[in-house]
Amino acid sequence: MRAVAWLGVVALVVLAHHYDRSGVLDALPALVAGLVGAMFALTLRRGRTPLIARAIAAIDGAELLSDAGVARYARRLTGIWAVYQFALAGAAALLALHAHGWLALPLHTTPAAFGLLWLPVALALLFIGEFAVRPWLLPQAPRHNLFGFFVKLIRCWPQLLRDAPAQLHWSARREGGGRFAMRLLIAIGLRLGRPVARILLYPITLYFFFRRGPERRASRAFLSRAFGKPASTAAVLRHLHCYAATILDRAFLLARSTRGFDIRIYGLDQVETQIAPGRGVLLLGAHIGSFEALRVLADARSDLRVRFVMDRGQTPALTELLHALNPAVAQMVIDVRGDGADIALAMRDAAQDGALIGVLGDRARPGEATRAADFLGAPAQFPVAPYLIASALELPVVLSFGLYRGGNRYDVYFETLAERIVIPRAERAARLAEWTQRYAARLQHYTQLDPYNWFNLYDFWHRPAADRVVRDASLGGAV
Amino acid sequence: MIHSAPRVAARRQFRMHQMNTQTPAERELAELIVDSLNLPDRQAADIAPEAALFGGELGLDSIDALELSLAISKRYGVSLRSDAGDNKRAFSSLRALAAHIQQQRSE
Repeated sequence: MRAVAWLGVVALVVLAHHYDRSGVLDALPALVAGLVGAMFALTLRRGRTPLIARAIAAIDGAELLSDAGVARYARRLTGIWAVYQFALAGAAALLALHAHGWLALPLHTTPAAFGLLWLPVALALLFIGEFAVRPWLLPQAPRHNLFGFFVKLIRCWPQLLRDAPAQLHWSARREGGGRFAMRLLIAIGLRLGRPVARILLYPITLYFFFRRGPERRASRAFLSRAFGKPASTAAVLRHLHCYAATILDRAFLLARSTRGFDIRIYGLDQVETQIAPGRGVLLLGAHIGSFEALRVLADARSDLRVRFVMDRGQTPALTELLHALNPAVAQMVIDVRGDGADIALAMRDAAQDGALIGVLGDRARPGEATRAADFLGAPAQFPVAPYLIASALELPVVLSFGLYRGGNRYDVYFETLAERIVIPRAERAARLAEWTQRYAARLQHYTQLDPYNWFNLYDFWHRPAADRVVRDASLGGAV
Repeated sequence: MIHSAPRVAARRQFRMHQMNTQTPAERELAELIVDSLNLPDRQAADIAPEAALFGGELGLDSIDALELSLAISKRYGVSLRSDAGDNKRAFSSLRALAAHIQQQRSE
């Protein structure tokens, strides 16, 4: 998109130069320098992040800007660049006037030569000059080599044009336009059919790719980690497409159950052997693939009661739409936004009903107690509440993951994590470390079966420190 | 009627005593809490009847609430409901919890 636009501009300039007799083009160097100067200057307004600060955040990480010296340097350098560009624009303007005989100056260069030669040289001089003196002016800045630094700067250029938002906890990110498009798509799909909606998934994937920078970057970072090599743009697109496809399918699974889907179940016996009257089973899933595909269970065993512990507040509009499709499912939801004790007691009631209780064990809500466990080569925080609840209610825990395998196919896996989890209070820390690690290891296994099913599209390994709360076993929210 | 200073002090002392003393039912519940939650270095007699059970000095959390509710239903045959909305009040202190159980049993 952007490349096409630039090609267009270049073609326009070349054509204009060819046919230009009036000399309007002579104003171009002044115009370009002035616009770029304005771009720098505008980021100095109150409430904006100075352009150089954005570059530092993109290249060296935003943490560096918490150093007051670095932030001041970034602001001043942005100002210097703005003034420098304005000065060059002024010089170019004078030159253009001179070339048309409106001003008689002792100059021996033309606007074209200025734009093509002197302007770039002047910019390079400031760039290289600042780069050379930076170690003295700002000793705390990380060192780069000049060429590598330039390449990185070019790479992150589009990012600099947007005011980088402060890193928010994923749950604080609002539902974006991409999700609005998803809701529209679901409405279309339910009327015109899944094939029509699936064609529309492609433009939505592209839209998501261009508009949702944080998710795009999180996807790339995750895939690079999962594959052990830098992920291509094609892989990121495939990832986002897979994400959108499963959201679309949630609507079909809710509205029409598993009809029309090819769902293969592995390990159903693992669940069936754990079912006992008046006891309940904890189905522990994750934000991979489609937990909705577990609906296949309800088809296979209509006598089973199912409850889902989920956060209705995360994507309220989408959740509302999906639940409108199947009000019975809405009844099955235990909303985690409630009071901690109420959630725990609702799970107790469900267990006493002998229900299957679906819980996702990979994401912690702000304020929820977590333990670090090794996941894909680095420690990540996992919530501890599922294991404590399983221990208190004496529930068997069965891992449940529904992976999307393209087309209309889902593979649903059940695997017993524990027939019984016992966590004596005195051994809490050690036992929880052990159970979160066991879960993380299995989650890693299923994630590696198909990394495109990973839908935690935020930096899973580095949450803002504020939500790693030390309180031992809170379900989030005060009791 | 004008109270003499010593009488006011005595009455206040009596009230303080009442606030800090467990009734037999509260004592029984306090013992259930200490036993079922297996609280280390905590005596049932030390739980102040009107102190906060959760988040406060005792520092119980939602999992404790769950374990406690299981123990209470086993002992008293009373189920703390998940949808009643008054759990916050019921769990607010030893005294409130004892009163809640008492009320549920008599219903």
